[in-house]
Amino acid sequence: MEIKVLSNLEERLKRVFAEVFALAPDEVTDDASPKTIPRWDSMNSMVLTMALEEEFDVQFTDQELMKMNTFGAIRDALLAKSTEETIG
Amino acid sequence: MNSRKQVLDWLESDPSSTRYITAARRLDEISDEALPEIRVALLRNIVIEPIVPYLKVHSGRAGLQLRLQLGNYDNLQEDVFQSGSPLFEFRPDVVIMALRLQLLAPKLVLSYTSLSPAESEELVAQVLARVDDLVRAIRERSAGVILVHNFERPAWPAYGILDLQRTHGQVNTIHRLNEQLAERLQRIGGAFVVDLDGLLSRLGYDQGLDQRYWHVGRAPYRPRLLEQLAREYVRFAAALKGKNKKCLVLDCDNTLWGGVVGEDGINGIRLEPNYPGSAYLEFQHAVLDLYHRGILLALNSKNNEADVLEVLEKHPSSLLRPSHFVAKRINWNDKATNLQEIAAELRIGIDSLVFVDDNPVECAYVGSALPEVQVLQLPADPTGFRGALQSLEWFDTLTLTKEDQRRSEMYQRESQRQQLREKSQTLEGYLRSLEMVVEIGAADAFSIPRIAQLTQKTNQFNLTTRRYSEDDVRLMTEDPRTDVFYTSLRDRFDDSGIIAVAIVRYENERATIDTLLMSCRVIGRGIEQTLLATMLEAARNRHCESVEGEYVPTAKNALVKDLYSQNGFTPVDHPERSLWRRELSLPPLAHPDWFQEVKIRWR
Repeated sequence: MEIKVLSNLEERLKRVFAEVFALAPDEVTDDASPKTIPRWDSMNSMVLTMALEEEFDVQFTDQELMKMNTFGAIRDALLAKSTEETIG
Repeated sequence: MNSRKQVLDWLESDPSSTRYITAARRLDEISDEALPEIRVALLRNIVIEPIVPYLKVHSGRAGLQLRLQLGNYDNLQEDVFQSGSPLFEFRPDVVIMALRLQLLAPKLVLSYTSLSPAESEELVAQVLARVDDLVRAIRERSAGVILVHNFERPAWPAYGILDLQRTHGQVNTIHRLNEQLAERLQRIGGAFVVDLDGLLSRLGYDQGLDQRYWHVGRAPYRPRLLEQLAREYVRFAAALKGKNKKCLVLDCDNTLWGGVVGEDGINGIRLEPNYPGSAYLEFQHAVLDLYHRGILLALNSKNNEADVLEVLEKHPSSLLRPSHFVAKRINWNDKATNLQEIAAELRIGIDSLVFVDDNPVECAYVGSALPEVQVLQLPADPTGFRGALQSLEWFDTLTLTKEDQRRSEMYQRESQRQQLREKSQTLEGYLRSLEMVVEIGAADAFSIPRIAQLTQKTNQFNLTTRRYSEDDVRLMTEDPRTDVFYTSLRDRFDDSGIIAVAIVRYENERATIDTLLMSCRVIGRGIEQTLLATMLEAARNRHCESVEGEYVPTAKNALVKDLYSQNGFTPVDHPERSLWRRELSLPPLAHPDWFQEVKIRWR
C-alpha cells in the first residue's frame, strides 16, 4: 500500500514536471535540476511550485520554496508533507 | 488534440494550472487554423510571467492568436520613454500597464499611518501624474488600446475599524486614487481601467494574493487571479477585434419564468416577487441590462405563440415585454433551424448569437448542429441564472454609442419597413416611399467613436475588415492624404445615425480604398452606390486618375465580393490579391435617384 502511494505521487509529480518543462515524463530523472533542464529558470521554478501546490493541494513554506531545486528534493518535500497530511 | 476546440474542451474538463500550461503549448503548435492576431505588450512593475499560459488560452478561446511582448521587470520608464524601445516597433494592439502600488508609492500601502492627510494626497497626486505621463507617452506613439490596472484596496485597513470613518483613511484614499485614475484615462481616450481591485474582491484576497511569492519572487498574484486577469484582458482584446456577440436568444419556459406556460397557464407560472419567482425576475433584470447595452433580444421557444405572448403582454410581474424582442420563433420547430432563421431575419452572422436554455438536451443539440453559436446552459437551480448570464464576457464593446442604446428600436422600425415593402408594387417604389436622406461627410470629433466602432464590429458588408481604434481614426483624419467618410441615414421611420464608413488614401494620382463598410441593417437601399459615387468625386477633386479597391475575403464577407465589379471597377492583375480599379476618365458613377436628398459635407 505504501509503495503504491509513493509511486502514484512520483508519477503525478513527473507529469507536472513534464508539462511545465515540456518534456516526456521518462526524461524526468531523480537528479533533474536547473543544470539538466534548460527551461528550469527562476521563473519556471515559480510556475512549477504553483502548479504543484494546486495539483497536490499543499502549501510550501517560504523556506521550503528556497530549497526546492532538484526533482528529488521536491519529491522529498512532498513526501514529508504527506506524512503530516494526506495528499489527495 | 489536433484542433483548437479539442484542446479547449480537454482543458474545460479539468481546468488545472498544469493543464493550462499544456493547453497553451498545444495551441501554439496548431497551425492549420489562421486566427486573427492580437498583439499585446505587457508592461509591469511586478513579476507576472505565470500569466502567459492563461493569456494564450483565453485568446485562443476568443478566436485570437496571441503575440505577446513582455516588458522587463519594473522597466516602464525605459520601455516607454527611451528611444529605440522595442515597444512601439512591435505595433501593439493592446498595451497593458500592470502596476502595483507597493512599488509606485510604498508609503500608501505599508506605512500609511505615518502620513498626514496632506502627505497622502500628495502621494496620490504623484502616482496619478506618473501614470498619466506614461499613458500619454504611449498614446503619442501608439494607436493601441491602453489598459491600466487600478490599485488594490488593502485587505486590512491601516486604521482598523476607524479607517472607513475617515475621509483620509487608507481605504477611502485608495478608492479616490482609483476614481481619479479612471477619470484621467477617460480624458486621454482609448485608455481603460482594468479593475484588478474588483477581480480581487470577487475572488477574495486569500485566493488572489500570495505573500510568499511576493517576497520570494515579487510575484503577488496567485494562479486563480492571473487566470481571471487574463480573461479580463482578453475581453478588451476581443471587443477591439470585433468578436463580440450581438443577439441574446432566449428560451421561455423555466428560463424566463418557472414552469411551463402551456400546462400551468399564465396564473400558474412562477414569476412572483418572492421565491422561486424572484430568481426568474432577477434573471429578467440581467437580460434587460443587456438590452440597454444594445444587445438584441430574441425568443426561441417550443410553445404556442399565443401562450408566450400572453405572459409577456399581461403578466403583472414580467419585466420583459413583447417590444423588447426583435425576433420571435415560438413554434414547434427544432431550435437550430429557428436560430438560423433569426440570424437571417436580423441579417447578422450566426456566430453573433448567444443561445440560452435550461434544457441540456436542447443545448447539446444546438451546440452540435450550430457550433458557431455560443450556448449558455443555465444551471439546475434558478437562483444561479442571473450570475450565469452576467458572467458571460461575450457582449463587451469598447464604447457605448447612442446607436447601441437605440438598437432594438431600430430593428423594430425595420419591421415597419418590411410591412411597407410588402405593400409596395416595386422595389424602387418602396425605396422612394422610405423618403431617405443620406448625409456623407468627413469624420469629426462627434463621428469618430462610431466610425471606430463600426470598423471593429462590421463583418459582412466589409471589403477589407481592417479594425481601427478611435485613435487610429483620429490620426487618419489628421492626415492630409487620407479621407475618412462617414455616412448617416434618416428615413420616414427612423434616424439610423452613422451606418457606413469609407477610408480613402491618396498617393500621387491614385486613390486607394483602405476601408469600405456598411451596417448590415441598411443593405439593399443603394447607400453603398451613393457612397462610392461620392468617393470617386472626391478623388477626382484631388486630381486623381484612378481609384483602386481591394476585396479581402474572410469567412463572412462573401456578400461584397462582387461589389467592385458591379460598380464598374475592373480587375487588376495580381497573383494573390483581389484588386480592382476604376479610371476616373470614365463617366461619374450615378447616385441612385430614389433618395429624397443626398447631403455631402466635404472637409
